Amino acid sequence: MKESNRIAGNVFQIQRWSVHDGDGIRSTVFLKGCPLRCKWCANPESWNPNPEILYFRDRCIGCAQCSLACNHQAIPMDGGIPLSFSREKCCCCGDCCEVCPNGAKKMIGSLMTVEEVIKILKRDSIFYRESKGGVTFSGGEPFAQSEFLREMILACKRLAIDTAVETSGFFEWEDAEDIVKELDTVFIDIKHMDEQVHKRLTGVSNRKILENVIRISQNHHDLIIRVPLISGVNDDRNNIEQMCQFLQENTRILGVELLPYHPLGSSKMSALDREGWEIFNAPDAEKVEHIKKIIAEYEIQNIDFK
Amino acid sequence: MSSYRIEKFKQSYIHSKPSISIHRAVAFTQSHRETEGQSVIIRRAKAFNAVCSSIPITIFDNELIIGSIGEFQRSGIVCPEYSWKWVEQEMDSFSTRSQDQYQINEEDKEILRSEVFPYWRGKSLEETFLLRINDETAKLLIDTGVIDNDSKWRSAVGEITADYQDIIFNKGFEELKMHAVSRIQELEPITKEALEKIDFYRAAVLVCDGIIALAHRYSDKALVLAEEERDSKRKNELLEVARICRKVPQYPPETFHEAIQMVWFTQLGSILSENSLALNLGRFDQYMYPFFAHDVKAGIINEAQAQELIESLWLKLSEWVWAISSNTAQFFAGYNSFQNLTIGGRTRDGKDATNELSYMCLKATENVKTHQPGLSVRIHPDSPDEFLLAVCDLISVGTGFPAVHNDRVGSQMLLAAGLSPEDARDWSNCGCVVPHFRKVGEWTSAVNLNLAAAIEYALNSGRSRITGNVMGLLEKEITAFKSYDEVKEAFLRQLSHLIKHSVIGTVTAQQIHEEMVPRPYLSMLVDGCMDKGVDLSKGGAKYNVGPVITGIGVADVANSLMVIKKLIFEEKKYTLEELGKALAVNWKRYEEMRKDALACPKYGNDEDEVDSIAVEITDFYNKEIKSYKDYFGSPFNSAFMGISNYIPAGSIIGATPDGRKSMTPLTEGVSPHAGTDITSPTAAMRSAAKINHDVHSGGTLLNVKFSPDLLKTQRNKKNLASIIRAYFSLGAFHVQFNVISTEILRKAQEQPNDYKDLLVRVAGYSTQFVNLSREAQDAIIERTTYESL
Repeated sequence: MKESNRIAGNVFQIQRWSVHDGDGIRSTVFLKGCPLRCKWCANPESWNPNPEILYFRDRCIGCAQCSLACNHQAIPMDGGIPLSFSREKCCCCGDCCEVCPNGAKKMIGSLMTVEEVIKILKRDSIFYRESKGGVTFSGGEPFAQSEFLREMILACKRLAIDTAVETSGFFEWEDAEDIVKELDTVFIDIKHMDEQVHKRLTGVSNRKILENVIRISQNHHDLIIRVPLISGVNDDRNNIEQMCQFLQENTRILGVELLPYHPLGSSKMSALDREGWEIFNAPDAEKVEHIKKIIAEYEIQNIDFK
Repeated sequence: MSSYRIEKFKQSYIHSKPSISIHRAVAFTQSHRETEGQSVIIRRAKAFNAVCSSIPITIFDNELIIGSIGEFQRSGIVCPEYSWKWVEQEMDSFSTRSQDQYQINEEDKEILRSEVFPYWRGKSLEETFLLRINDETAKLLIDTGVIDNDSKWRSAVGEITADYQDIIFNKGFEELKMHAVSRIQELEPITKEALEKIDFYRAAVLVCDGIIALAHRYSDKALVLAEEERDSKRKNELLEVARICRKVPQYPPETFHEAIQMVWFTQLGSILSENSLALNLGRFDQYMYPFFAHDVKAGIINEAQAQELIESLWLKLSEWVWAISSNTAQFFAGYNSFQNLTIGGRTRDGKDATNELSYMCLKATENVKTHQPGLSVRIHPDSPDEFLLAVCDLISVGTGFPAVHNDRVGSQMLLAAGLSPEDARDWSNCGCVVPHFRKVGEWTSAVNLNLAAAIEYALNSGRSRITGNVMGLLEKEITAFKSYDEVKEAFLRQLSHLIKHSVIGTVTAQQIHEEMVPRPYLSMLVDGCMDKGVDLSKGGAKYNVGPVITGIGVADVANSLMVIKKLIFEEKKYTLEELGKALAVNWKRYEEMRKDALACPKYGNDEDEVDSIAVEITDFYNKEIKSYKDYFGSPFNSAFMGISNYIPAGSIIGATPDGRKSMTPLTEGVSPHAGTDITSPTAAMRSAAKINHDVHSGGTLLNVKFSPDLLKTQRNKKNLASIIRAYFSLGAFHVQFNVISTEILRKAQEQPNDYKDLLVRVAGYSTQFVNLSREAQDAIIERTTYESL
């Protein structure tokens, strides 16, 4: 076995039959850990780079199996009823998830070696080949685990599997440059053009992201810009036009894909005992069409992986 | 969109109720009263002839293709010579029962009761079979759901494909008749063989005369209607139809219209002769193409007219409803008659065979949305991408059609069954997913064998959990097994026992069929019989392929053995004794164990650990079955296909180790058990493809259900095409798709009237969802839906 195959990453899901994240039939590998804290995030369980436990309180039947299983006093019991769940004491060993009879506790993320992940990805090789599909790395922020990502991409290359990455763009270019050059397709998010607004909505400045968009486009032609479209937040003409101007002046890209907002992250936020998530609205279909028209006016292609 | 004529006809079809026409039964019986003492084949040929000469001639408004089974737009007929008791017992509840209702009027019931049934008392196939089958086999075989072959003694066999290419279109029934006449003159009645042959050829003359007479009666009626007709356009149509029926099927057709009318008359004859399932249309796009090409070139017909004729045939094929007992209706739900029609594939010399008609057939099914014909396509590596995309277009409409087959594997299956390479390339489907060839005589669905019964008997000392009766081989107590291999061996022993009795049931039925129900009309349609002067029921076909024993519940037994291997012997989390107790009480108070059982690897998720058990079982099943030979010396064949048989098969099985509850449905074909294939469609397909499809010459079936959201766009359809090609490159044989949202199905349950034309794929076939029983509807809803991820 190659030494590099033993490198491990924190993976929280491998989804086979993924048909909306690039060409053809794909498998998407979700890597855990993200420097952004977007208020609409659909995968908040991907923020923390370490394994953690989702606790769906509405599914808890109060059987206290978890309390009994826990060796770290993270789920104290009072008169046979589990009282609370202390994230401070929890070491994320997952013992409570094993015994939960109703799926109220779910372990998210595990360390997997390159070899282990590849073994799963290879299973659908024939479907990638027939459909001109491949593997997509998503997250979290895949470049946050750049060492693991690099070895994964190289392993896919050796197997002639097409590769794509979905990134927030928030990463150090030096860590990523060589990886970007190996990729077949890059998806990068532009969430907002205004630095202050971006900071308020995601917790980070957009400066590094926009720089990376330019760098990637200089190194890579198959770049697709993704915009999570949120009503009243980033769907105004001004923001869209600014983005188009920026792209027109600084980059060469394949096109822009609009991804209207959906609120699927909400239940996961409360299952993580986290706050700071807000409910937004998706723009209506008419508005989306309107935005597509603006983009087209800048001679930028609207791409859709529906 | 269909033509106005077809749309109108379709509407009246949808709103007509299936009704029983008794004329065939009355004429057939009356003829038998008059032929006592004559040879069986002659009597049956005379009876067929009498039916053709006397049943009412019915031409519906604006029809282009004419000929009707009965006087109703949806007619069912009864054949008392096969079985009549169930009709007598059940006809009062025909219009109210839960599955496949029929209308029947009181006067007709009275005629059946007083004139028809009394004659057949003690003479029917059913009574004879029940008299002759040995007691030990009967205990497992007769209305138990353990092994089931009642379609081979309560009804006729069907399961043939008329040979339009080399016989019917080539010769016409007049030439067949003349051939028979000349053979009679050559033969001298001095040997047993010659006597039998003379009878065969005399019967041939009678059936040829019969079908020709029926067509002529239609011609006469069309002339009468033409005379009365005021609309000049319709008058001309009727005159043309009258001309055509005077010509075909007596003589070979020369135009597309004549050829389609000939197909329908030939089919009508088959239905009237024995009212059986799987009277297949074969490679329609191939044998019809020369007529189409000629007529278009000569300006006789345009594409729209050809399309209308094809759709007319589709409606005709759907008019006939198969009248069956309520018991059989559970197995063959939805008035389905399994008239399979195959398009695409390769030519006899291995080139791509797709032509314009292949596309027009897809369009016809999309336009008329009838449950017949059972449209099947053959896809090979060189099938045009646009053809596969057209197939995916039709799939995305959600009718469940077409069934998609791997052309190469179909050929391999037939090579394994002994056909020549050219003939193996020329295959078409029989019924649902059986690779077949028109010169083959074969019982393609001889027995349904309940695999889960074998695991039940192995773990319950040979007893049924539901009845407590000893059904299997006597087996030691569950606590006495010391290893996984011992359990597995016990299962295989029980399975072999069920296979042996399936074989006994089949050869016994074959023997009685030869004696009692020769098939003189169908012998005209299958190559070999006429040359040899030997009836189809005596092995007269060019090839005799052994009967098919279909295993039900591969996924259930593989999953069950997996649980025993993992939880009992590897992890030692539970004992066999505990498992036995949990199964005995249907998991009550054993929720924890059931949860662990459900969490074990399940077939359908691309996990080798459990998939390899499925492969081991299916390979064993194949070898064991092939070790037996049928009445004509041909080895038996294995299959994993489904009718809706997995529902009744499940209803006689108690709780199983995989976590399945007592009396709930098993699994069809090589599909994963409903709701357990949670990884991805690609994983489900990879699991199914691990089975060695090429050795199961009776066919294999995989059902995949998609939500329509996944198939809306061209991108999605391309992906669908890709997974079909990928699945086939893995060596699998067949896949079909149900593309319906659960939401719509629930609505259809609540408001059946609004969803009368909603077609779903039940298993190897599609039928109207609203025609299914609530149970069958629920089972369809429960199948895993791959919602947009």
